[in-house]
Amino acid sequence: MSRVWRDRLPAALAVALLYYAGAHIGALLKIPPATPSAIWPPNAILLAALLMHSPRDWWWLLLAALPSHLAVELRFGWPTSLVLALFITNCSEALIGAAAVRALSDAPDRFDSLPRMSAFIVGGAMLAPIVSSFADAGVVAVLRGDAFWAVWRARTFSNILADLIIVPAVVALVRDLARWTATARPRVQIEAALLAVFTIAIAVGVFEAPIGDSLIPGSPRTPVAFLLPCFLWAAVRFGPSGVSFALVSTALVASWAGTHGRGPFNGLPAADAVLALQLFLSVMAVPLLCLGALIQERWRTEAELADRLAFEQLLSRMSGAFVLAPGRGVDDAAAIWLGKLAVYLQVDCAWLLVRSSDAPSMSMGSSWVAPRVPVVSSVDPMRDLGWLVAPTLDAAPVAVEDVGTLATDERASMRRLSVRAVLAMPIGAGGRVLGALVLASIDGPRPWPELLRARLRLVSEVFAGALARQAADAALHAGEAMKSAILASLSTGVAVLDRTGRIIAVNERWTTLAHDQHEIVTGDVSVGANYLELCLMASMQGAPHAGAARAGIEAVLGRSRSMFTIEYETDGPAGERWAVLSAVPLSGADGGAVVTHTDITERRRAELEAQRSRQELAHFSRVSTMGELTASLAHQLNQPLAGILSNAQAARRLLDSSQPDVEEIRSILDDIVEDDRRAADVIQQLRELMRKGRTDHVLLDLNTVLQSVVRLVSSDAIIRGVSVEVDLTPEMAIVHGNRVELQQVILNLLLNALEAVGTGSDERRVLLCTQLTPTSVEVMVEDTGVGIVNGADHRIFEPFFSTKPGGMGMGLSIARSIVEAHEGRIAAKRRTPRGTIMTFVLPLVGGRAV
Amino acid sequence: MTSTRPLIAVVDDDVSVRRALARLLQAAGYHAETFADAEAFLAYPASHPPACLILDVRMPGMSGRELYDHLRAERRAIPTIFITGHGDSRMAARAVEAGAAGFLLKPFEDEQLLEAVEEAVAHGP
Repeated sequence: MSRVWRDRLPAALAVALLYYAGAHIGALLKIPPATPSAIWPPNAILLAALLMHSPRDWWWLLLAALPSHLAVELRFGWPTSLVLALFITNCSEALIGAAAVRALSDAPDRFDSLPRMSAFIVGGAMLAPIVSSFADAGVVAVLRGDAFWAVWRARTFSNILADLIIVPAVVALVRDLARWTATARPRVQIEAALLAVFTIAIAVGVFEAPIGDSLIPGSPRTPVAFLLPCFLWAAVRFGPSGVSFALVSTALVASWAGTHGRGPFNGLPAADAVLALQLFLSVMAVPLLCLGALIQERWRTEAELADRLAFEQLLSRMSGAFVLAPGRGVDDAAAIWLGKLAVYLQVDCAWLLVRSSDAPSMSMGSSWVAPRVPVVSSVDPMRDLGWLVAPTLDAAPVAVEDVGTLATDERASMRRLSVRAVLAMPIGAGGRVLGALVLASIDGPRPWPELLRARLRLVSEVFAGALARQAADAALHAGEAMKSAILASLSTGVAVLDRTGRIIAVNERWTTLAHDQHEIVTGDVSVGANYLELCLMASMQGAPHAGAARAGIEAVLGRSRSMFTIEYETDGPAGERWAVLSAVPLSGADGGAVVTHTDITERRRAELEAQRSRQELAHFSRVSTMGELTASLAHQLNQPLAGILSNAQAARRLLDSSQPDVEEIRSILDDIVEDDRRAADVIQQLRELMRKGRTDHVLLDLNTVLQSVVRLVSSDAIIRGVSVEVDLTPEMAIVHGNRVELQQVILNLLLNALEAVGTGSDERRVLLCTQLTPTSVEVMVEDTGVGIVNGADHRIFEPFFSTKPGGMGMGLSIARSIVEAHEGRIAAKRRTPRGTIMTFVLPLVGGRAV
Repeated sequence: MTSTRPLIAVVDDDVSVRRALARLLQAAGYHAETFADAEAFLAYPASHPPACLILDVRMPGMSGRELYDHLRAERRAIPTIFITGHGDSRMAARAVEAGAAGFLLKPFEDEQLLEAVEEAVAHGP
């Protein structure tokens, strides 16, 4: 048997049983030989069944009643055709009634408001019996020959009464009784039982009491009005259902009595007595049912108000909880309130999905499952319910009231999770979907009425606020975490000062470097201390850089400086150290500054080491250059020495003569002194160039330096047979530099030029000239030599690059490092038609002197 | 008086050396004329050729050797003593092979110079 039929079976069986029972009761209340009975419940039972089901299900509900119909009516000895025809008319009555009520009422199986009750009374309890009775009477008239109008009248009134009083009772019995007995308070249940007892007792008293045996002494009979308190009681306390039960009880007792010739109408012929009874009960029923409906409507309104209040309380408490929850507590609050929401809405599962920040997908944020529901573990929203979640990404809600209405795949996905009904509502803020709220029912189909959705939209807004806040908090925390990670990873100590100079935050490195700051501050440089005060104390104790640091940081705090930096040397346990302290303003209304403290010892040592090795290399280079100049230097020394020797010997000869020429001897001595000075100058120059180590930069005239070098190489030029032309600016070219190093550069360039020219050239010429610009001096050494090999223009400055046989390739590399150390630059280019032009430029001190 | 004292020419770019040699030669009884470079010497009237030429090898412009070769080419050969501050034995050998009267390395003793001069004057060109 398919699942569909398994679901239908209970309803079908109930219909069959009730129809059978109803038909039996109807048969017992029949006044022979008429076909209609005083009250005929089966049609009302069918109508109740159809009202409680959708039209799709009507056919099998009606079919379910057929066996019962046959079982009862065939025993009457009626022809089968009549029995079947009567079944058709009974069914038509139920169908007309159900269709009419469905057309008139927004909730066919509810009688809890006056409009719904009116729709039922007009469509189900009046129209259907009246219309169907024509068919019924026609069938009976044709097949049995009964009087048409008699049958029509009997059946119409019988069925109006039955429909009026039985349908609400059956619906209440089937739909509400189980819940009512489970949930209603005992006091109410006792009251209901008492009401039933009183009603039946009074009904028996009214309808069954023999004539003359009245409840009121002296009265011929107990008045029917005695029943009214019971009916009102039922209407006021139990609504339409109560009225219905009370009327059914009364009707059964009265009909039983009436059909057996008893009761208030027993003076009439049997058929008239029954009709009177039916009219009496029907006329009573209509206002009572309406009264019950009105009362229930009031209850419903009250309940709705209470429900709305409860919802609004839930919503406001939920909002409050999210507002008060700390950023990281939003998840916990969401889980708690998701559960409370689910309990309030009476759903079995509630999931809060959170949209991924980077992809169009959702992941499970919080989940709540009713305790009695088997836990569906690890639901992946996109994998398990993708078809449901996907539309919510575009802010579209999805509602499934019954899994049965879905396509196969979707149905299968819901069945896997045992879900019968589901609602997915997007959660959005500012046009952006942040997540979704999914509610699911396990027990069975359930409607998702507009009221619920409207409320969920409000709930969604609360969740949206929470999710948005959580996302913002997460971003903030991520930002904070990144900032602190960056601060922690820095090799620089960082401290944040407020506008008064108080330290409000430091990184770890600041603390470890604190010791190195004793040149600037005295005391503990941790959070809370005032850095400016510590500087002041250090300054008073004679710390060399404290005063400058304090003034600088104060200027930065006062926004009069955008940056302050001080570099200083300090003593540490591991020897000499260097550090840089700098301060920049902290942007923001509160002001303040960020002070950084960097240990630059390594960098400084490396710089010093580089400087030292450069100087050593330069020295080595100078010494080897001297080697190249040996012949030339010997010549330069030999000239004065030769002069001195010859002069001295000439003087001796003069003194040997009889009349020495004293004036000539004086002149000779002057020449000797001059030559001696010349020799000493050469030696001095040599000594200077050979000297090793650091020489401070001083202000010097580059032209003078050039001339001294020209003198040094002049002999070499002569030896090589090269003419050296010198064209220096008449103005001084004042630069800040190291004389020896600059001499070395020029010496190197000149010697290279001389060598280049010396190797077989017709025009043996070297030109040295200077030019001034407003800010710099340009030195050019131009030769007519072989020129630079193609493509080697830049390589010639690289270490170990040499075009000379036996050359080390260090000269120009060192020249460049010297020029760059003087903040200058050096370049080479080919000269046309032949030769090379080497140029270096140094900054002028104080601009061009006039 | 002039006729009895042979004329010695000194060509050297170094003024101190020139002056010292002139004094020495005059003290030794010669008449000395000094020239700062080869061109100045060539400008000196050829009608009074010196008896001996003391010539510096390395000079700016025309070198001593070039001057010597030039004179020989013009058949104006003068006994020549080369002097140089630049020690170069190969050049000394080549100069003497080419017919130079002597070769002296600066600084040199007065006797060396005067002996060479005396010899040169005595031998003639």
